[in-house]
Amino acid sequence: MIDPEVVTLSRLQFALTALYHFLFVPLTLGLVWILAVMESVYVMTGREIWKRMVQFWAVLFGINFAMGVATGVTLEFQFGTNWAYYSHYAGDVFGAPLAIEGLMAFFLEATLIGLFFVGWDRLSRLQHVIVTWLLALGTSLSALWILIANAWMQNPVGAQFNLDSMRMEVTDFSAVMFNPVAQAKFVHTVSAGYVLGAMFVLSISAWYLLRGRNVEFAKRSMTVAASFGLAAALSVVVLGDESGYNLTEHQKMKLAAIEAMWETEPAPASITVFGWPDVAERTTHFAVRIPWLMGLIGTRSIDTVMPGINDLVAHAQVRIASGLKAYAAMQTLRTHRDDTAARATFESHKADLGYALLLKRSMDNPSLASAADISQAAASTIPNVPVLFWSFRIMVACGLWFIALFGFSFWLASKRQLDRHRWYLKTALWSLPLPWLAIELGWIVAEYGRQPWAIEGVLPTALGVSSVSATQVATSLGAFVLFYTALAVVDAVLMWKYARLGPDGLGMWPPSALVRAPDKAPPVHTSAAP
Amino acid sequence: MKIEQHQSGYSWFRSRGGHRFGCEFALIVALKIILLIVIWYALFAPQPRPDTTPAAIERHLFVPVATARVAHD
Repeated sequence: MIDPEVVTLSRLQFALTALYHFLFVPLTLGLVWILAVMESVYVMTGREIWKRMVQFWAVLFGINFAMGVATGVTLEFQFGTNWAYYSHYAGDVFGAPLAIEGLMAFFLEATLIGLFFVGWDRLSRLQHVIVTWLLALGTSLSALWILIANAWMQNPVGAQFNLDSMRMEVTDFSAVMFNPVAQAKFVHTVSAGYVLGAMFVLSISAWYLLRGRNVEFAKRSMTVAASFGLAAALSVVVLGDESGYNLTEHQKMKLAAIEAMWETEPAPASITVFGWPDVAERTTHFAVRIPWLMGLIGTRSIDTVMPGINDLVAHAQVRIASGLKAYAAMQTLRTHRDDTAARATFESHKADLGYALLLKRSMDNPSLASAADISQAAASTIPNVPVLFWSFRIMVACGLWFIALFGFSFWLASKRQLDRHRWYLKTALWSLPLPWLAIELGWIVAEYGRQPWAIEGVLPTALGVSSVSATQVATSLGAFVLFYTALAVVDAVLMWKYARLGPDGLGMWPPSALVRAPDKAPPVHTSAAP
Repeated sequence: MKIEQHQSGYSWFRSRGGHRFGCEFALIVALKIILLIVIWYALFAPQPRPDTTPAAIERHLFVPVATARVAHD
């Protein structure tokens, strides 16, 4: 039997480290494009202030990068230590994009980061801005590969189970690469990072304006952030819709759980704006619904039915029964390789083999499952409905707030009134944590919503864990919590230190005299503060 | 931090503040890598490695053949 404590601890460890890692990644993804835009303005206009803006925001970008780099390595530790069976079962498929992502992150990104920071006085303006754009592109490409790997777990295309090696093997790598879920997930995720980058610049600049410091510097930064942020916020909602549309095709249960849609409604289905999902009674109390909207968004038609949770559970029951036939045929084939009848049975039912494996969580031998066992396993395909329902709604509310805030900021910027309303500056400042909240909730919806599957319909999460003890996992979990807490404290202290100093405190702007590299500079003039 | 000003044209990263920032950047990355190595060798390396041979995977994911045959008989 599988130890549920090991499964829970392994999942907790992976979730905590992934959520922590993703505090840094989206800021890197977003801020680097803002640096590229600012530097392009500098190259086009030749105005020194734009160069200083790039260098100031690059300091905060650098801190974020330094704190975030290698925090994802611990996730790769865990594939080997806590998820050895998952890695063995799916490593041939999952490993390739994961390795490419590692190479991109550690070689391409790191090289370009080095050129970006040390190249200011060594490269021409044009060469340097090309490096910055390549850095922005490389950062997003790195994200692409990890999202291809993740999308394969949501929609396992281009691979098949091999009976001889007892693992999943690639049959069509282009299908893995161009997985529609990966494409939608990539653009949605990087857009969310762009929103975060824009909000970061907008909020810190608003703080300077509230304090009456670095006014010209902050207003220019806010103008870039408002424009970039508005485009990103609109994109993230539109592209999120595409991501949701993919759920209709590939993860019906996740979508039904997000909507707390217990019963199948006649097409087009209504959307539940607000309600209180009751798991025990399988109903949603106090539901406020808008007719037709879910059907139109989810299926882009008025006559396609969206199945509810209860019908999907019934369908899972059918698939478990079918999977048990594949399971029995596979046992026969392990001893009698030439049994053509067993081979035919296996081939016709192997798509449901994963569903039979759901039974392994509660019994050693699924072949002995009773109707009650099958019914229980089918019910276990329902993810945590209240968590998904609320996480999704808070994420969407944040997304709509970003459109409103960036839209208003853009309007103020076009009127040159960014520093006119203190209430607006305070609102922009206090909105800083919201993109992080929305992004983390987005990942909770994506990954918690995939449960009980590690690989949708193929491998239950519980079967992916290693044969390790709960104590081992708890020990490493404790070490990671300590390690990451220490990093979070250092990160907050450094970010606060450099943001508080600002361009004036760091001597970046306004320019008046020079204290250049103390040991190398030919003309050295010391000066007082401006 | 002491306030420094510098002439336009030069990169801030080559100023005293820039050098200090560069040192902090390098120190953080180095410390993190060292800490990760320590965590690996102290906590993960001593642990017994999971058996991931095909036979072990079969045992883990699927019932041993003999048991399954009995179940179907």
